[in-house]
Amino acid sequence: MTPTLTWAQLRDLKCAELEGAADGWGKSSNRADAARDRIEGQLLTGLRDTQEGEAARAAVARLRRLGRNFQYVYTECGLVRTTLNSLAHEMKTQQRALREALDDAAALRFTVHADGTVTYPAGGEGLIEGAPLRGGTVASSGPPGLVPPSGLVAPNPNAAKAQDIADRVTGAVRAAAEIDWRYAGILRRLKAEEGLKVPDSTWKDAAADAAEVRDAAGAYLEDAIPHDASPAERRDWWAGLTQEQREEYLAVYPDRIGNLDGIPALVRDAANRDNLQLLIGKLEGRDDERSMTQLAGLREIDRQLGAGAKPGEPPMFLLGVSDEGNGRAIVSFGNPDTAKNVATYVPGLNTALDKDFAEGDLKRARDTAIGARYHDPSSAAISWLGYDAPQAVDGLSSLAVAGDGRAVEGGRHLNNFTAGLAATNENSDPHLTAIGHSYGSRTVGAATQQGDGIPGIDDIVLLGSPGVGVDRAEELGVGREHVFVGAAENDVVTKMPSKQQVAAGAATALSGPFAYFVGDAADPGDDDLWFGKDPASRAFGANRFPVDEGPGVVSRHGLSIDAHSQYFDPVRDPASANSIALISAGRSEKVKPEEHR
Amino acid sequence: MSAVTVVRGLSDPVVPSGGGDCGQRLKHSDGPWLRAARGADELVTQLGPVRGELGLAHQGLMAGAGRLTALAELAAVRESWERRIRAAQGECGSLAAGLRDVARTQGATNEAVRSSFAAVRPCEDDAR
Repeated sequence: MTPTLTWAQLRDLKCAELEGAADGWGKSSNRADAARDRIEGQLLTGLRDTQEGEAARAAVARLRRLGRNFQYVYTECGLVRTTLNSLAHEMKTQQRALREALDDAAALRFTVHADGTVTYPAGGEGLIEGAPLRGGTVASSGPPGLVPPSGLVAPNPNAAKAQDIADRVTGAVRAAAEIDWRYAGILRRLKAEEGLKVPDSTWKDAAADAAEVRDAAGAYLEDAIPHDASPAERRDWWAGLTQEQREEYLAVYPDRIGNLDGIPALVRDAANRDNLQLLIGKLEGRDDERSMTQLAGLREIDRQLGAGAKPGEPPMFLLGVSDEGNGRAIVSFGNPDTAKNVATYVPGLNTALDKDFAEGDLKRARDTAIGARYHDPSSAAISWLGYDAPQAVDGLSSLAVAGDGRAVEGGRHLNNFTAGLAATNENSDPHLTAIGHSYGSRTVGAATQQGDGIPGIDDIVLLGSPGVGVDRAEELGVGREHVFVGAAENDVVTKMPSKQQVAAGAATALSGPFAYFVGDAADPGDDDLWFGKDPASRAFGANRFPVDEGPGVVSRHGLSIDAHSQYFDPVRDPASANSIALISAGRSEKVKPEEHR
Repeated sequence: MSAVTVVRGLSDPVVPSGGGDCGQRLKHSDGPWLRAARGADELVTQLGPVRGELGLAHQGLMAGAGRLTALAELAAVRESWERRIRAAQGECGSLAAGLRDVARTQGATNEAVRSSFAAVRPCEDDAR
């Protein structure tokens, strides 16, 4: 790399012009974004929802491709914009260093020549005659530290000052040349691919582009993202940014902004839709099991987002997505910032970002949202996979093996998330519900025991719970009358034996669900589960609502745990689904009671 | 406003994604096609200023700070995106024409379809 730049060119560089060019890219990016919105929000919906047949299918496919194309244009033009702004930012730093050196030279009446050498006048006193020492010219001694000062002569004091100035001038020019070279490389990779298509490989490149730009723009943008602030402070930070700044954050850090609690739902959704494409691009072509599993889940979420909501049904908002750990995905049905009632469903054992989650767990939130909107149209429900749930490697006994650790960690994230919901919800007093299913109920329980409890939560629903870590409903912090429990008679998870009972079961060399029955025989009437008191028990003191007993554990098809998985299902267990919907809609007074166990 | 025709092709194979027991569905009406065509036309207009805007934004830059290697690259980057956006604009125009064609042919065939399928058995889930 030979610096071809001169200091005069660096001095005269108009960084404002670079920023002006960046604005131009910002405009193009916004036009593409608007075009994509138009296609997805209007053109596609119009045809998809009303038309069927070959022509409609072909038109929808072409529109979808065009929409993806605009998303690509939006993302990449946004990256060019930030690259230019960041280039200007770094060049300004070098210009400042140069200007200070030139100012020092002018004050000392030194001359800085075009080649960076510096001429200084006579000065100081000679050792023999006392006359001023002759002036001279110095060139930069190269990068600092390379040439040690000789210290052999008692020189003209101006010489050292001139040397310092020459070094600073040349240093600034060298640094600027390096910056120029680095950004030239980044820009070269931001060229558009030819054509209209946006295959996964292009998204893969776009992910690499975003990573590269964010590396380069670290000094310019990222330092300001308030990761350590509270969700309410983050909301205020976002509100205080200019439109241009927001656009840049969305273009360069869709993953950070999209997953940041306290950022408005619409913004998170927009960021995460980009993020989703970038993640699909990143995982595509990998052949390890985890990547393939997550990719299948992401593709299914993408499919549902692309299909859009049917008229009258709650629209989807992607509030979080990531390939961290077992994967993260937070999907809201209905806008959680405008809805008065917002329910957050925390899934449990064996949940991970995969196709099952994208189909089954999303459907649970969707069914809940549809049910709640029947009772109050201003309702939304969220499927929250914001933590690593324990995985069932050994069937049900994994639950017994799973400790409290995941729940405590997940509870911390859940609290942050609901604090974000409370911060960005536009209603003066939103009604928030936390729904924990299976180990997710233990996670909800853990969340209630941290800080001041789950921020903003009014009602808690515990479904198929193996215990929540506390022995009494009032310990959950919302008042026992606001704690609701669904426990199916045949749901073995709600009968997971306590540790003592397992010991009794183990003594007869049985394991899994059967240990309970044996254990129960050893201690009849016991209401302790693995994670504490059975939430359906009288001693726990919550409101139990009626649910279908579910299929038996042992049938002619073998062992079944289906009774654990139908609480949300408006077809298989309409009474349970409707109770969940009522509580989510803030109408819990209408929930029918069921006797405690 | 716009006519809706629902036709079940009885001879069509049963395709699960199509319409269940009744055979593959064909359902269309002019309104959405024309609306989509107008939308696509508007996109062409919306994207029109991109080239001029980008040109204007870079004008001072090329005159003033033209010494940077990065700017030579930027020129090439700009050309590539102008091409891509032009291609997208072209696709919008061509889509608009295509969508309009569907609406037109549909208008003509609906009548023919209506008479030749006079005996078509309506599907129960459409009887509302």
